[in-house]
Amino acid sequence: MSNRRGWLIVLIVLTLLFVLPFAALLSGVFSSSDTWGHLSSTVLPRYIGSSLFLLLFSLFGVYSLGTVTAWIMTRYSFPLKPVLEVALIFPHAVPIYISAFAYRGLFNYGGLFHPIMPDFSGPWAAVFLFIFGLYTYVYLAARAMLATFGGQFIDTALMLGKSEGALFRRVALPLMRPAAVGGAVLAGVEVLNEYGALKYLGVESFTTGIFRAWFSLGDITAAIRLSLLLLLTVGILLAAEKLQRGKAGFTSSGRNPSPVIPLKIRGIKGTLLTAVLLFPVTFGFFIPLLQLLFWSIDASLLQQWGKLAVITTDTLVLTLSASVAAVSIALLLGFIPLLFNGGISGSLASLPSLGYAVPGAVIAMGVMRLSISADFTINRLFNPLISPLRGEPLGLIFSGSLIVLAGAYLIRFIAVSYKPIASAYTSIGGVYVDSAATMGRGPIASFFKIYLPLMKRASLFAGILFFLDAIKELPLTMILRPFNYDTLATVTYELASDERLKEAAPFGLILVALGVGVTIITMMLSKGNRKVTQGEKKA
Amino acid sequence: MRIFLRLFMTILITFTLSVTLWAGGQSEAGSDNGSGNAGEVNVYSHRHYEIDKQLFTEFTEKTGIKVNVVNADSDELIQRLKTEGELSPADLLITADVARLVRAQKDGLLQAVDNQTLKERIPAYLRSPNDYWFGMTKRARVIVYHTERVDTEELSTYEELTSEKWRNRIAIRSSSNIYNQSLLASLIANLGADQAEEWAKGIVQNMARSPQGNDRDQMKAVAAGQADIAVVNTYYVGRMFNSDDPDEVEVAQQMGVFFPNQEGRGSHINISGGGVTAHAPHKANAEKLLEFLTSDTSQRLFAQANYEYPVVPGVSEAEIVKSWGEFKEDRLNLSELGKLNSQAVRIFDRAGWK
Repeated sequence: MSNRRGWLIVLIVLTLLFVLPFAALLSGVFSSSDTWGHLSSTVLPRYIGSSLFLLLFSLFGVYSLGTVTAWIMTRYSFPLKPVLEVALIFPHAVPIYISAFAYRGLFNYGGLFHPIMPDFSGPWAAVFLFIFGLYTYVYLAARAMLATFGGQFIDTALMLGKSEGALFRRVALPLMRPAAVGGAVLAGVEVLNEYGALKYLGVESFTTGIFRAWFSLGDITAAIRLSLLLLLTVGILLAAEKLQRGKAGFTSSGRNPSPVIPLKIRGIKGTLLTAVLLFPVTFGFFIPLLQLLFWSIDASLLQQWGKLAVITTDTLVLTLSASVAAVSIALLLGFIPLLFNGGISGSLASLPSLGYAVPGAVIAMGVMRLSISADFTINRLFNPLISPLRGEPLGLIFSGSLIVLAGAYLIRFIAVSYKPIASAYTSIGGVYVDSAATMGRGPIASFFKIYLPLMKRASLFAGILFFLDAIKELPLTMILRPFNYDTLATVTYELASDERLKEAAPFGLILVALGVGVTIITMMLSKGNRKVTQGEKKA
Repeated sequence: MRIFLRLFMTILITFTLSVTLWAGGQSEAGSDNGSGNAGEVNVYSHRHYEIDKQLFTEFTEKTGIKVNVVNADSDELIQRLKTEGELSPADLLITADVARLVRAQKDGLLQAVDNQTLKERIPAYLRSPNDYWFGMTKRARVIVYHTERVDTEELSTYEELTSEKWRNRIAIRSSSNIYNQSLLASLIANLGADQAEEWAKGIVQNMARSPQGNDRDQMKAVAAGQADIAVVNTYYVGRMFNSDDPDEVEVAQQMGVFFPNQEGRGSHINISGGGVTAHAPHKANAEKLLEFLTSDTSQRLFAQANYEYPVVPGVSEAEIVKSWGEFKEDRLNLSELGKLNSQAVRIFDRAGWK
């Protein structure tokens, strides 16, 4: 075990890097706050109530929709299935605030749906957007779980003569639960984190409250205390998830996970299944997309092509580099606990994921505090040496740099990469480290030779989920970005919040298209992957 | 294991070093701290209008000074200035509301600028009494009404909007919106806190719907028949009226603009303006930019392109703005609005104004 101490140090250093910005922020929590009393007596109960409402109904919807779609897609084969295979993930590519703008445009004066219903606002509208925008978290997680373990359980159940309904209730649901709850927790955090859409729809929540305390009242201490409460809520969610996962762990009994062979459904029943699955895709993707397309054509998309090209390139470079970094770190974070059979190292490794629970703007504040104090230190230490040579002080080095912005993305979204990777590690288990050890091979060998190849698919998903989240990120980017720098998200939001929806649409459209493009590529890759493994099995 | 640890540490150190060097190179390219002939000015701006970008380009063409911009919400920019302290590269802070300028001043983020040109061109009530900030454009917060459903005879003052007859007929945006905060601050200044709180409660009672969207959205609600009147900033009406979107034009055509409190103190106005930051590395350039933005040409462009009121007397307004006629302004010194801002927010919270 002693030769593994190095790994523990690596883990601690990594975790510290992630936690430091919060420490920088928390140092402000005990400062005096002259608005806290006012807030807790007037608006706090409203924020809590509203957030709980959103959480409860959105998660109920997200969980049901995600598990049902995952099951249908795994168990059956029906018309248009290959199309739906890809399309069901598309809603994840549409930022909730963009759907909010699109839907409001549709229901607003002059909108297509205006005559039917003149208004799209309030908590129910938000729940609607959350369900159709976030079910993908549960769907993807549950799907992956079924793909890995479904076969053996379903075969057994079928041999025992279970009906289709019982198969779903008694076998699939319990089997999906650990992964689906994990996905739902991520979706819940996303709900608690949303700012742009809620503000636009006139819904109060914790996050809008944080912004209000910080911005409207200028009281950062109160804002930090509110974020801590939020953090606590999310901490409870995460802990509960950990508990339920702990009880229901699955290990593959066979050497090869057996794939589910889908049951062919034709005729009316098949069409019906297709129709059911088209629902989430339509509401979560096609409707907002068509609205964006319509506006973009109206705004003559190509007039802005120069600006579009520059901003798209900038966004891609930033987001892709951050995604690669995120997957690498997640792979490392997930691997190390295997060497120690979980325990403290497991908790340490999941600590960075807490960043997902903190609103982007709050993370931005922490990162900014940290990078600025680094800059101050560097200036204090090196200016006496360098100033005479350079003829001017060093000035800001980290603050306002793209590296810090990318780092902030990592802090904010590492959970998204860590979740699928950690659960893949869990399903593989730590056995190979030990068996490698008995053969005299160290953890490095088992990491590169055994685990890495097995983690390809999970890494790909981890990468795509991170990319999709990072490319949509808004508040943090607005605060930390360098001079004269825009991402697709910031341009879209700036224009849209000014209700210049048509001008905003082309940028939003590219944002969505990029997400969709990446999704399709990943699906094709993972499909190729699966074929290879199946081929191997046959051989 | 040792080898691995060493490898990791080497990678970590190399990475940190290269990042430091790279980031150092970046910031060198980005800012030109201190040197006298630096051809740059760094702007933190809340205003994200096309016209601003156009004016900055013109400024560069005219003076050779490059304008670097970070666009974000004023509060975020203020927070950023605070954290950056003396290392901040920012020279000029531009906000869309006076209360934020006052907050920046109170937090020690701005410096007084003794600039004769600015003082001569901008009327005293539209700039800081001690030269910390200067108005660039002016906007009035007015009542718009549906021309068929509301008679102007029914309208008079902001105060009167709380009367029974407007029950469920008013569209107005959220209290987190700074324009509403400043409006309430003006009521506190003019009527006192107690009456202002009664007013806020009265408006909440008369709201046609829970606050949502921005000022344009309020007018759309009036056009859609959800409400009969709305409280909005003037330039929104102008921009909708001249929009490329036929729906917006249709909405604007149904709206009448009413300037409240003309018999009394006048309609509430606000400014969008700027101040030179406390640690500005290019102070002289920042002043030049402010002077440029208050030149007749820039003022005319602000007025024509964005339907705002010029702050410099004698510069003409856009046609649509002219058509609403002259009006009496509330001449309360705008710095008052900043001082009363947080009191206004608290009143909103107590009144249950979302």
